Amino acid sequence: MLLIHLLSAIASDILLMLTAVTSLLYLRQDYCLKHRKQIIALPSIQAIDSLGLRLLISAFVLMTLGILAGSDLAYQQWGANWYLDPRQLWSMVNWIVFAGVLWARFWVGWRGRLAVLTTLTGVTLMLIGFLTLHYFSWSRHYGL
Amino acid sequence: MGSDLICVGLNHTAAPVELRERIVFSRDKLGDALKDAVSQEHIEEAAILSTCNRIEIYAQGHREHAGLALESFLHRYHRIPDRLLSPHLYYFQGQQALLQLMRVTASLDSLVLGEPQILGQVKSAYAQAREHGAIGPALTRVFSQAFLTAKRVRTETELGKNAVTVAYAAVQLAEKVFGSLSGRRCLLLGQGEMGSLAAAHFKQKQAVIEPATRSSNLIALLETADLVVASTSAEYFLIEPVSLKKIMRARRYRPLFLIDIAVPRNIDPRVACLDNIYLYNIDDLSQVIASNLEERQVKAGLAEQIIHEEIESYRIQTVERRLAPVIQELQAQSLLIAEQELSGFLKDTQLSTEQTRQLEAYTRQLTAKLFHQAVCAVKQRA
Repeated sequence: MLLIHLLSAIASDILLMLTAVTSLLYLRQDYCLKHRKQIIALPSIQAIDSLGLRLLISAFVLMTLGILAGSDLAYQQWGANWYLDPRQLWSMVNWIVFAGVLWARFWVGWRGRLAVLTTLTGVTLMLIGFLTLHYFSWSRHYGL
Repeated sequence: MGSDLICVGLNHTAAPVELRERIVFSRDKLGDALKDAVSQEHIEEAAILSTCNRIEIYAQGHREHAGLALESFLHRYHRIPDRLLSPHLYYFQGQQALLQLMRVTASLDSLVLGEPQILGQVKSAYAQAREHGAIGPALTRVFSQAFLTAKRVRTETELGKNAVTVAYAAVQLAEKVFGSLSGRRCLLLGQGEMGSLAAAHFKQKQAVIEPATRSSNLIALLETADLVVASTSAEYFLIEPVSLKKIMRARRYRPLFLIDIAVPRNIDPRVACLDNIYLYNIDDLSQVIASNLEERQVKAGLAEQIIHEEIESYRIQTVERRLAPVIQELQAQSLLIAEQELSGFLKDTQLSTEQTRQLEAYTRQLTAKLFHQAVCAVKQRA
């Protein structure tokens, strides 16, 4: 279970980073097209958008799996699924943000800059957590 | 002796269309013209390149007389007096003729720099000449080198990559948004010439063209379209930000690519600020074209360098080919002399079989080495 928890969390983070790269490429291509700049050799804006969406869906599925595995692991180790642990809380915040982005994309029809900017915001939140949360000494993930 | 590559012809910069149209070689009569050309005294091989912008004859023939022979062939064949045609003709010989053929084939001498059709036209001229037996080994080598050079120019400089016409620029920009345009719905507003031309280009890419009429429901059409080409004579905006914002919501924000070629404009420029809307008017497209043309000019400089490299390589090949029989003969003679001298020496000397064999091998090696150095020096000098 620990392996599933770790692997899915790491894979999800990597996929989210790739999503961020495609989002930046999208913004670059969009800027070039809108400002009549010399078009750089990138795939079409729709192709970048659709790749970004596929990466985000994959990352979200893995993130969900990681959270579920982590919750089960917490129950086995500490006797409860849920603690007010900073990393658990932050993971839930991230999950809610990405769930919101995906909901908006599928049900409201968000595309383009708005979708890309919200995705980038989510990835930034994820990064902040990834870089800072292991410094919290009261966290059960302290040092991880 | 004195045979060389000759080019006689005229192009869009040298002659007006009134003259060019009188000396065009129609495809069905090209065979007869080629036979006629090679039957001229001083002409050994010939190929005729006849397009709407240039008529050129490339021939292998006498260095001094072939040019005049081709000129008089043009006068006679097209029944045009000397005074009308001769002032417009250009004439190149040897390396200059090769340079002209390479520049033409690589599209450096075209009306639209880097346009891709010319390579096909030169290939067709070569194939026709070959079919009618007007071409021999000399022109075959020259044309092969020109095709090789054009290929190098195309792959190394990507000279013709970016669009330099309004319609093609529109297609390239649309492809940057959608990728493939196959099955995309293109709404055509108005019957303007440029708009229709752009629509024709989109159709070539398998887009579905939907012409809108005055009675069409524009909002409904915009909800399903992917591309819009506007070129109506309306003096007000047909598409405005407020209505388009609502339409975009109904479209679930699918990208919309708008080309406004009309003057006065048909689409309010403020719609460009909306997300997933890509709007280009005639000035934007002209700007894209101007920037692409500038880029082509830079690439043309690189292409000229490649052409000069290829001309030098062709010159070296030619020298080597000319020297080859002389070198072979000299090599054979020097080996013969060495063998004769050695057999004379062996007559007066008592050596074992092994020693004789070693001496023979040594003599051959020494002769070959000395000869190789001499050949290298001659080639360098040549």
